[in-house]
Amino acid sequence: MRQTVVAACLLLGAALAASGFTFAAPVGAPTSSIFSEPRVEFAPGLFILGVVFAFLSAVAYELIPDGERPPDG
Amino acid sequence: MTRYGMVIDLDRCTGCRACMVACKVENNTPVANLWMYVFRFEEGTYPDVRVNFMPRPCMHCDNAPCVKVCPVGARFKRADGLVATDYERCIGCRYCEVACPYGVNFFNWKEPAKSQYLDGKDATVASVTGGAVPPYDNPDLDAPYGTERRRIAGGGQLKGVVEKCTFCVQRVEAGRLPACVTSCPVQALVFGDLDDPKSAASQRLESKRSFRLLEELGTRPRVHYVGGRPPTAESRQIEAVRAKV
Amino acid sequence: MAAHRIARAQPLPFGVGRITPGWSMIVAILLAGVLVGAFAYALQYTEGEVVTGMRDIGTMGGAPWGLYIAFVVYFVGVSFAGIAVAAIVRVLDLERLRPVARMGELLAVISLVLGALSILADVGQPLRAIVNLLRYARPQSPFFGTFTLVISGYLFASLVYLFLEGRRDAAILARTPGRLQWLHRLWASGYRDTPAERERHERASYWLALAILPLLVTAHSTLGFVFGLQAGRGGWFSTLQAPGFVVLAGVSGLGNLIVLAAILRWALRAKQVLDDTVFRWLANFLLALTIVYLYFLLVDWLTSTYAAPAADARLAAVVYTGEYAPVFWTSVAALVAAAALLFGQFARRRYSLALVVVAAVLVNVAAVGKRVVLVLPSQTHGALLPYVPGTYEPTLVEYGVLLGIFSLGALLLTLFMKVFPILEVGGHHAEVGS
Repeated sequence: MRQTVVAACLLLGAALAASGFTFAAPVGAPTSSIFSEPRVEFAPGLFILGVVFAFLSAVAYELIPDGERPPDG
Repeated sequence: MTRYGMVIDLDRCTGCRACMVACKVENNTPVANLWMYVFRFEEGTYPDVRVNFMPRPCMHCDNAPCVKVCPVGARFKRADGLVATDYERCIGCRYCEVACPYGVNFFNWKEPAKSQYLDGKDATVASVTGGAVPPYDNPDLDAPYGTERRRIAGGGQLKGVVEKCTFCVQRVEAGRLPACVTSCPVQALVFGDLDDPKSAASQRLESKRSFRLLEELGTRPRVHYVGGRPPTAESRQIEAVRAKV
Repeated sequence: MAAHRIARAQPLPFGVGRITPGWSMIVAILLAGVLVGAFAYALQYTEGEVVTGMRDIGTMGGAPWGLYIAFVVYFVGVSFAGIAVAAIVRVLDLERLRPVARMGELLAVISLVLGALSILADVGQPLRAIVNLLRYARPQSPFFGTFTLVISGYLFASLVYLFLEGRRDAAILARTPGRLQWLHRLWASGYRDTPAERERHERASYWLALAILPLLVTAHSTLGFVFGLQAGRGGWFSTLQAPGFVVLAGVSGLGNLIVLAAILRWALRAKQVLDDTVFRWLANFLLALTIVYLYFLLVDWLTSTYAAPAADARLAAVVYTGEYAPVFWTSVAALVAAAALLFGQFARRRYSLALVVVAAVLVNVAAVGKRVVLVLPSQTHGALLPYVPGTYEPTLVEYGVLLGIFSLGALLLTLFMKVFPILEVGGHHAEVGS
């Protein structure tokens, strides 16, 4: 259970950050206005959310009790 | 494809600064914001002194540092060559201003309405001009432009944003020339499609040796100078403008 | 390190939850400072930034970035210490530095908040900035890293670190009934200090530290790139900017941490916890970074004076012998003095707390001065076209806003100390018990 959540958190974080970067404005010599428009609006917000999720995995790792034991032992 | 540019003939420029005034009237720029500026230089020592002039609009670079550094894409490059500022998106961080080597960006330090040369509501002014004093209410300046449909025209739009020369996008899109170009009494400024070898601008560019300002920085300006030479370390400004807000 | 056993009936440690007159007075003073800042900012917000000393480059002969940006850089720099110390403690297993770890994390969180506030104080459209950065931010702009990695990622990572490292103490405190019990329970979030939990925490914080260290370097480099990538002005374009930022961030951050630790040692009478070993470690760390930075300054000096391009040479003259020389040489003198003080103690293997603190204060003076010299001259004197040189004189409004920001930081720290122990309560061997 814990491992699953932590892995999911990390993966989600990485995926969000990667997609945030991909969907933000392209990087390159700005020859037209597409270099100044995000491909998807609020993509940079996704990037930040991704970073947040990646670090949340540490919280999940510590807070979620081991699956085998009942939470209040 | 149409890609606009400007050719400035330094042989012709008389340093009259009519372009500066025309720009202010057309674009309603607030006090001290000189989108167009004409350098007046002197070189050498008496009695061998030379004077020359150099108008400096925005260079509308093809590899514009201001576009690169803008954190929100308010400053953008249009496919037709213009470098535009979306005053509805600008957050006023002034990074463009710091990155630009030409010093063409101007921040609205105060409420533009409080930053005009004349107060149109002043009774004595109004009695002479019938109320027609800057800021003129020019609806062209508030319309969206280009394929992007973004608001990029005119100055003095908002407090706390950066504005600069637009090549008079409101006139160019209506098929007219920028205000500085039309007002130049000696046609030192030529505006047009530099991709079209038959345009007046291209022809003027071909007619003489040309240079671009600070070309070594790789900014690839769309403003070309002909018939003169770039300022050197020897060039001293005479009557340097030190504008105050 | 002394192991503290907290008996049930005892009051909370390190003055947590006890309001003393001295504390109230400090809070009152800081609140006054925050109010001054709020008033100054209100003035700037309504009148526009014409009330600051900043003006446009070029025909207006000014600097569009002033003290606010210099302090953005300074605050983000200070945040270095926290996470660096906390992460290094973990990765290198430096038990001796443990007592300052939480203080460092807190310093990181607070200074990042202050950095973000300084950015908001600087931009012309602050409300729009918050939305538009999330909505449109461009990775190509060096600011992208500043606000995604530095302000957001780094801040969140520091918060996670602070939270996880504090759970054990929270669990200890949560046993004492009182008005703050709910908070400590919440923070402990079920921590019971079982061997399994301890091990899990060790592992989590080790990996967290490993993840944070590269983030640290990236984050401070990003801020250096804001200046180092700009070829359009004399003086900025340099590969040394990014590493220089990382190192100077460490210098100012450690300096702050030493001062804070010394104040707390005195105010909380915590001589045992914050013993001389802690300061010795911090002092040596600071010495190493200061020497590296002095080396960078030397390299920079040689590069900018030997055969530099005209604009850079002109700028170097302005900094080394011209208008900015007083600020520059004061900073250098402060750094050299601090390095000498620290080295003397290092060589003689005898440390005096007072001298270490003096050095720590000196490096912070230098860090502020160096940031001013970094941000301003290239704007006022770095023009590549023959504009007349500019000037910049900060106004009272700018000083007021910065006073408010500083006071807010100190206030947050002071408030935190009353709800949670800023020093570690349960030493490594203490029991949480059940």
